[in-house]
Amino acid sequence: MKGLLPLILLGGLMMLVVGALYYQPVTAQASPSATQPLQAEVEPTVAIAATWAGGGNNSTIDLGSLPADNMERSWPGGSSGEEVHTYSNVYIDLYVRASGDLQNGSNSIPLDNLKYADYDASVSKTAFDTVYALVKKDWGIPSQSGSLTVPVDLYLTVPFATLPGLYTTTIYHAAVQANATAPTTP
Amino acid sequence: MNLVVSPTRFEIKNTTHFQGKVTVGNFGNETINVEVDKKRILKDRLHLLLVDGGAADWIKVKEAKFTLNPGERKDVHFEVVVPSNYNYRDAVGALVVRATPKATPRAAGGTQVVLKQGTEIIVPVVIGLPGPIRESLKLENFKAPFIIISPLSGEFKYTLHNVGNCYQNFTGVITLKGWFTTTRINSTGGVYPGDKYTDVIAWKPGPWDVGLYSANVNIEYGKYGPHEPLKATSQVIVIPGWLLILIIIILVSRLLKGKKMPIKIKIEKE
Repeated sequence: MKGLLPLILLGGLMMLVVGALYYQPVTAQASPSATQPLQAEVEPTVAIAATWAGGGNNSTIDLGSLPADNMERSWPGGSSGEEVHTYSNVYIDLYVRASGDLQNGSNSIPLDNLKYADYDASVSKTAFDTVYALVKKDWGIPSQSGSLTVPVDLYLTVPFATLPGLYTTTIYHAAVQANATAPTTP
Repeated sequence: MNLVVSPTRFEIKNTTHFQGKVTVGNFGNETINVEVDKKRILKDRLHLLLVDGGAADWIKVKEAKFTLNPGERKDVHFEVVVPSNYNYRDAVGALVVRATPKATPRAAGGTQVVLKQGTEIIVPVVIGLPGPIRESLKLENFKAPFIIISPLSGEFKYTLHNVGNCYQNFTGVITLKGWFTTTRINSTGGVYPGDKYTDVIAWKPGPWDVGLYSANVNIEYGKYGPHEPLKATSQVIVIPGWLLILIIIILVSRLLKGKKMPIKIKIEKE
């Protein structure tokens, strides 16, 4: 055993020398963070919706079966009637028009018999026209994720002797960004 | 009927050629038909008018009709070529993004009324200033017949020339004022910009219409502002047919009365 002692000491010494050579102090060094700038430009956006009876019947306004009695009927605007909503991130002007007379083949009900009112802007009762009529100017921007809503009252008179059938027309609500038609610099 | 469009306007500066895109989306729960139309904007303090021609002709839309399912969006590419000699004071076009429901209403019996509703978003394409709304009709001529012999009818004609830049509806009234009676004849119509429209109105005098009549035409027009009515005057002579016949009968009878019949005397010799 005594003969092996120098060998053991030599081995230990060599291990110490090798260990010293490979010794690397362990230190906590902060690595540089991988930051990426992320940007997204939100564009001006106009978003509008027109709903009838809360949107339960999609967008079709079904005024039902009516007698041809030459008497005006009304459908008040609101959650159970007609509404227009804005989800836009810019101020908008809102216009309304119709495509023409209410048609059923060659029979028709004059467009003058179909009227609108209110828009939360005290718009008086007015007959629909085929050209744009301004109903709400500078309609504001809703809170984020929200919307603004206005009611639309509708009125219709079915003249005497109007033949039975399905009468249809299309009413359009048109939006344009407020003050969007002039150049920013002259 | 839900429609979203972005961006909301385009401004073209210092270039004659512009390529752009507008993103159209359907954030509702029904499938919609979308049409992207191109128009020219005319404007005054209260009205926005979308018409053809001018700046509308400078815009080309690549895909103008398509369908969007709920939650779907689409980029619509367009191109604008501005002519070198354009009028800065009438140089605003527009992309009109129109959405209508794909579903078709069905009848359920009786007199049923169903309104389809659409939404439109107007995206101005601004090159200069919007054109003014110019409503202008000219009465180019008014012709009345020289003589009307009742019960035949006579034709009155007037020609209107639309020298403005927007469609005009008009209401014309011809007032025929005679010695004993006054008659009014109404007519309505419409004229497109640059067009001429000739209205022909027939009038059949009544049995008691007789003599010299002044025919005054008064035409009212103007949707966006007040305009002086157009006026013209002419004259027409009305001769009742029964009066002519009466005169002829009287003349013939007088002629017959005044004509001396020769008396033939036959003398016979015995």
